[in-house]
Formats: sequence, structure tokens, C-alpha cells
Amino acid sequence: MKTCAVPTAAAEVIEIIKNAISDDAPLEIICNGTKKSYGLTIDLEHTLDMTKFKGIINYEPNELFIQCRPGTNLTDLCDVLDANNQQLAFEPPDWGPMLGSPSQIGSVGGMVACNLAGPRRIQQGAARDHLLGFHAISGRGESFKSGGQVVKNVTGFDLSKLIAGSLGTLAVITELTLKVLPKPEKIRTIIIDWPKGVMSDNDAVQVMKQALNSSCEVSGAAHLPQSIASRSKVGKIAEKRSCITAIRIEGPRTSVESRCKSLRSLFGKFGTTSELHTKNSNHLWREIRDVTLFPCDEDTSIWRLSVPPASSAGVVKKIYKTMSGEIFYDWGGGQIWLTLNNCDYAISCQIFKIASAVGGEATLVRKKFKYKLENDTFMRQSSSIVQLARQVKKAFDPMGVLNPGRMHEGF
Amino acid sequence: MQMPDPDCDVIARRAEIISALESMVSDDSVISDEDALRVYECDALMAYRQVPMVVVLPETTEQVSKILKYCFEKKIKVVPRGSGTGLSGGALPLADGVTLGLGKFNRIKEIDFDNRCVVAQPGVTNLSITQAVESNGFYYAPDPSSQIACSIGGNVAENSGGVHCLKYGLTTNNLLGVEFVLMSGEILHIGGKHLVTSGYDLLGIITGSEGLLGIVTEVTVRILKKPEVARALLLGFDSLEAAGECVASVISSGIIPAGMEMMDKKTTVATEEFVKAGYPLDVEALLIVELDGPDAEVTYLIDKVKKIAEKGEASYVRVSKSEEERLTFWSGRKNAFPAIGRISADYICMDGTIPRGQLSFVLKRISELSKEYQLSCANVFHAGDGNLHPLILFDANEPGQLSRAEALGADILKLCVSVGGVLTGEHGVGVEKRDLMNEMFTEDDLKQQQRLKCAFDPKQLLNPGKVYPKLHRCAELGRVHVHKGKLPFPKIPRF
Repeated sequence: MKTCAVPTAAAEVIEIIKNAISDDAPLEIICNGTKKSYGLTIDLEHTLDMTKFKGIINYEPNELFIQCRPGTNLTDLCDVLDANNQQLAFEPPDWGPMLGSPSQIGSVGGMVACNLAGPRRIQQGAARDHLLGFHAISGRGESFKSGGQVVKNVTGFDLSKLIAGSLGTLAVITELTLKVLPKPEKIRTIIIDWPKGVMSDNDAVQVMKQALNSSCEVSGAAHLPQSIASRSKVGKIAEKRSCITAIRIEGPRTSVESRCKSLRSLFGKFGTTSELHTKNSNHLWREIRDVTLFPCDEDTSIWRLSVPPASSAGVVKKIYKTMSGEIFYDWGGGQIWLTLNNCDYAISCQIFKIASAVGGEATLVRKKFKYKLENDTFMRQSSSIVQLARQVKKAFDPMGVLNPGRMHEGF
Repeated sequence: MQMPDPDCDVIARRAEIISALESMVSDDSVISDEDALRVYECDALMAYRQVPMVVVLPETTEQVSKILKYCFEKKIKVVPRGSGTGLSGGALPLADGVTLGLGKFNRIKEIDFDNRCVVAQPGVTNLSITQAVESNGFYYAPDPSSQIACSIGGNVAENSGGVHCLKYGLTTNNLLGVEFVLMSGEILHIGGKHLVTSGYDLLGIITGSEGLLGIVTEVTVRILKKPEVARALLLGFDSLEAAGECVASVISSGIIPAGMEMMDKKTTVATEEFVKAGYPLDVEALLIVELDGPDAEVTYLIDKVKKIAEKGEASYVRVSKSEEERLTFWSGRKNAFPAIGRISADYICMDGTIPRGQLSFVLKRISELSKEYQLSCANVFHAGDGNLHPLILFDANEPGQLSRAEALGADILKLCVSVGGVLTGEHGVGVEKRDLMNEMFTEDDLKQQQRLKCAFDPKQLLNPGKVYPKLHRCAELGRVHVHKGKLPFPKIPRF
């Protein structure tokens, strides 16, 4: 019989986990379940639902941190920060729509558990870099904490890094503290509008490299082929009917203006350049962040490749040799999003092979509907890493009661 | 300082161990002579000394792997060591331990401007990474004050910061990958030139693990293009409170300076005598605020900070007009520790972090505590991120002064924790703050951390006696008490 426990206090979480241990009944840990299909899919009898752990506990704008419970809605949290002219600088994406859920319902805990990061990853890092501390219940049913509320802290092992991205397999977070930063005064995006037929992806990667290798403090660098760009809701992008490279600049007005000027003079030789201002910029980067520019078709799978940025055009070329789909580049080429219509085991292996050949990785983020339960999501790691991961899991959850099999097959 | 009891059996096998190590590394790479071993008896925390059983200086990853495998099989403790500049005794040797020095790992293996990263061996100094790439206008951002000598491997072990980490992050935010050897001799490759690695964030947990989890034999770090310009303001205040408020006002105005440092009067006077930086001597607190970035931005922000400072009643305001003047502003701050060394026979440097808003309160309490203990205290700190470095001045030749200084230091750190801060911001726990860990963590918190240690080092041979006040056997830590007791929450389903 399926059961679902919805605790409201840490003591209850402890009890639920202890019961799970003594009854040998592993738990699926979820919040709103918007990223349930990400990672290895598990199907367990019993669920521990953290949605009632809601709310901001302490927000100190001057101390640049916010402390909240994991079930807090991420959009609500961002709105509170926004009202104080602050933000989560790592720009966490809303993967809901991409993964088949409504938008804006994802939780802060889920975001941390998946270690999400948006286009600003290249400058500000991911959730792991902004999780200052947390309280959690381990798979032993014991309450523990790590970190604190200050950025500079090397007291003991940095468990925040380990918990971020662990997909709820090590401990159940009950409280967490995130670093917050001021919002930039102005945002502009330089759009390089490539003339048809004369450019290659490699040209775009070179442009992004030049931008990122400049002292202009670029906070976003993406390249969208024409088919992708034309789906943008930003009129100024869609109407261009060409592929575009987008370079984001943020800061005080005078600074943004002068940096845009110097970058545009650098890029003028490649194509026409134009600028998006704050509102349009926000819209475009949200589309890139949330991966909403792919065709909305449940039957396609979506892959994310993380590669050394300079190798990205070569990687895409290799993919296109045997597969057909759509791609776009973020993180200056360091992140490639790929959508495929027919993705089977053989194709997965091929994608993993292409990514690992350049020292990178690939992840199947959205599984094709009918392959929902197939577990070829993450690239295989070396046996010594897997062995160590097994020991790490055991250190937190020796009986395997927290999301077993969600991150690694078998544990 | 109580260290783990030396294993007499291991010490009795010293000759055998030395010859085994000699067979694994090249000539002159094993140090066993009593006088030569003294060089390694401490790191930069010189209050604690212990001559190691033997020192080995491998130069390849395979050698490190062989040595660790041998020690693992023979149950011999190993203490990793970089440049020995650590301030918390993390590289303090053990009488029955092998000190494994990484000084021979001193090559930069690859500079990759296309992917904005450098691959280096762990013994390479922090500064030489910047030096290797600066001709192309790049640099490595974390800049601990010891950057001329400290090694990048040591930076990873300690998660080092520096004066610019307010804007650019700590080592952990600038590290992309490592090659790492476990105590069993197993060689792991984690991360690389890409940003997303699936599985647990082993890179994140290794960083700042103080040599307790394994030995880093190669790092890949992110490099950045140098900012177009950097300019600094020198701001003087009539009280530490006023300076503290100025720091808060700058942050709350939405500015994240590249660095924001504060010194009290004692430090200002000492550094001025030492380096002649041109600091005002009639102020109670001196702030250095550095802004970097595009010229237009820096000009705009300098003006904004200047206005905030003037509104905050700064009694002294000077803006650097040249790169030379900016470096002069910093010269005093960067030399603050040696400058204090000139006015005091000995000093110990504390390293707590506090929420910025508690700055005035904590400084007031430090001055009261310093009176209670009858020891003078000079304050230097990374004001932007609340990382305090109170320097407690004493004379080790005066009986009782060292222990009084340590007790004062402990009280200061307890104070930091009590206001919501932490024991150490960047120097590490090592042996220095080991016994204070219970101030910040419960027994369960510490046990959970130690279980992680067991995952990497089940025999607890790597740097034992550091960081954690109490050693528990891994078997004991791993036990699970399956409870079949009463149900305090009867409504919660049982399965």
C-alpha cells in the first residue's frame, strides 16, 4: 500500500526515518515533485513529502543571507529578495515546464537538491556555491547541521557542497541558508545577428570566448541557432530570423553602457549588433535559463552536455554526424542543450562517449515519455568514484532509506 | 595539546619503514636525519612542534599512491604538507607518522586560455599561477596574504580566501577539478575543465578538508581576465563603530567591493612604522575599500563609496590616484602581521567570522576581554565578509603568557560563535581550534562529519588528531540503533 507522510516538524521527520529503518521501508523524499523525473527514476511504496516545511525563517538583507525551510516556493523567495533589490545570483532555473509541470511551483529544497544554476553559472557558480549552511536529518534519523550564515567559513567539512546536488539521497534538509547578493542596476544584452550561411557554430563559440576572456565581466554568453531564436517571445529576437549570439552585461548604468560599447566594437566585424535593455534581457535569459525554447513535445528527450567551452562546437558537430535534433549553447559553450526525437540506449551511449572524449559529461535531463523508467540518465563514472560514492552514501544513510537508487544504481 | 597516542610498534619499525619509502622514491627524497627533520617540525603555527618520524618527498602521483598504499597496509599514519604556511597546525607532524611533503610537485602543467583555466601540481605557489598567466592579462583570484609562499594544494586543503574573496569567492568557488589519491592508494580524477559533474560533489567536500580525506596531486583552477582598473579608498574613522557602520552602509547600498579591509589604531600605527604607507595616525579605525572592474564603473562606485563614507563621518578620505598609490594602501594591510611581529615578542592570530552587523559589539567585547586577560590585542579584518583577525600580543618567555593568550583567543572565538558566527573563516581548524569544535557543533554534528572521514579513510590514518576533538573508531560511528520503541507521533504512518 502506498503511504505518504507529510511532517511539519523536524522531530516528526526523525520519527518517520527511524520507522523506515526499523521497518526496512525506504522513502522517496519529495517536495513538489517538479523534478521527480530528473535523475534515476525510483518507484517506492512510501513517500516523505516535505511541502509543509514552508516559510522564510530569517532574512537579513544587510548580512546578505536568507534562511528558509526547504518547502518554501522558490518564486516566492525570489519575490521577497526582489522587493529588497536582491537576488539569488546563481539564477536558479525553473525546470517545471521543461519536465512537464506547471511553472513557478518548484521548491527551494528541490532546487538545492538538484544543485541548479542558470546562465550566470559562469560568473557566480551554482546552488552549491551559495548554500551557506543547513540543518538536516540523516538516514540514521539523526539531526545534524553544517555551515552557518556567513560566507567565510572553513569550520569542519563543507557538507553544504555535498548536500547540494545529492538528490535527497544523503539527508532530508529541514532548514537552509542561502547567500544573497544585490541585483544589478541595469542589464543589457548585446545581440550579434549573424548573416545567413557564412558562419559556423565555431565562430559563435569564438565570439563568446572573446567576450568571456575580456575584462567586461560578462554574466551570460549564449548562442541560439535560428530555429531556437525564432521561438523567443522577445520580439526583437524572434523577428531577426537568423541565429544570434547573446552576451549579457550587468551593473551600474555608466559601466554597462561603456562595456557594451567596447564589446560591440569588438564584434562589429562578425555581424550586426544590437542591444536588449533590462526588461527584454530578463525575458530572453529566462527563456535560456528554463530551457523553454525547445519545441514543446513530450515525445522528445532533452540532454545537457557540460564540456570545456572551447570544445563545444566540435562536440555539436560530432553529434550532428549521426543524430538529428536541435541544440543551443549557454555558459559560453560550456553547456550545450540538445533535444532529440528518437533517443534509445545506443544513442545515449554515443552521447556519453562524445562528451567524455573531450573530458566533459552528459546528462539526460528529460526522458522521452515512453522511456520514463529507463535509467541511463547519468554518465557512468569510474569504478573507484562509484565505490567512494557508495561509502559516502553509507556514511549518511547506512540502511539506504533515503531515495535509494535515485543517484546511483543499487544504492 | 593532546595528540593521538604514538604507536610504539610503528616507531619500532622506523628503519624498515624508511628503507621501504626509499625504495619508492628517487634518491634524497626521504629525510630521516634528526637535524634535517627539524625543518618539518611545525607549520606557521609555531607554538606546537613535533619532529616527524620520517619525511618523504614524492614527485609523481604514482609515488604518492605507492606510499599511501604501503602506509595503509602497514597502518602507518600520514600527515600531508604543502608549503607549511598553514596557520592552524594542520601540517603538525606526528611522532609515529610519515610527513608527506608535496614541494616537488612544482610544475604548472597546462595553461588553457581558451577554457580559462590552469592545470597545476599542488606544490605550485598561489602567486606563481597568477604570474604564469599575467602576461596575457589573466590572474587567479583567491589571494591569501601568504600567496608568495603558500601552495595551491594547501589552498585546496584549507579552502583559502584572501582579501578579494568578497567579490571573487574562496578556493572552492575557483576550483574546477583535482587528481586525488585516497589513503588506500587509489587515484581519482574529479571534475575537469567543465562545470557540471554528476554524482556527489566530491570536489566540494575535498576542498577545505585539511588533509583528512586524501592527497591532492593535481588541480585545475579557473583564471579570470584582470579587471580593467582597480582603485582603492583609504577611509579613517574616529571610532571602530563608525567604521563598522560604513561597511554595513556600503553593502546595503548594493555595492560588493573587490575587497574591504579594516585595521584598528594599534595595527595602523605598527604597519605605518613598518612600511610607511602614509596611513593617518590619528584615526581609531582605518578602512581600505577596493573597487575593481571597468573604468567607468570604478569611477562611479568610488564616488558612491566616498559619499557614503563622508555621510558616515569619515574623518579621513583618500582615493588612490595611481596604481602605485593603490598598492601602497595595500602594502600596510598585507604586512600587518609582520608589522605586529615587530612590536610584540609573540602573537597569535585568531580567525573567527561574524555577521557584519555584530562588528561593533564584538570589537567592544574583544577590548574588554583583552583588559580582563591583561594582554593587548590588535585587530585586522576582512570587514566586508566579517572575517576577524584579532592578533593577541604576548611574550612566550614570560611564564603563563602563552596559555593566557590561548585562553583569550578561545574566548574571542566563543564570542564569535555566540553572535552567530564561526570559529574559523579561512585559517582552518587544524589542531589550534580543534578543541573548540564543540562550541559550534553538537556531538551528532561532529559524528556525522567523522563518518564522512571514514568513507574516505576507514582506518583513520590520514592526518589524525586534526580538526575533530575526539577520535571515534569508524566501526563505532557506523553502528545504527534500530529502534522499535514507542511512537511519539502515532499519526505518522508506519510501514
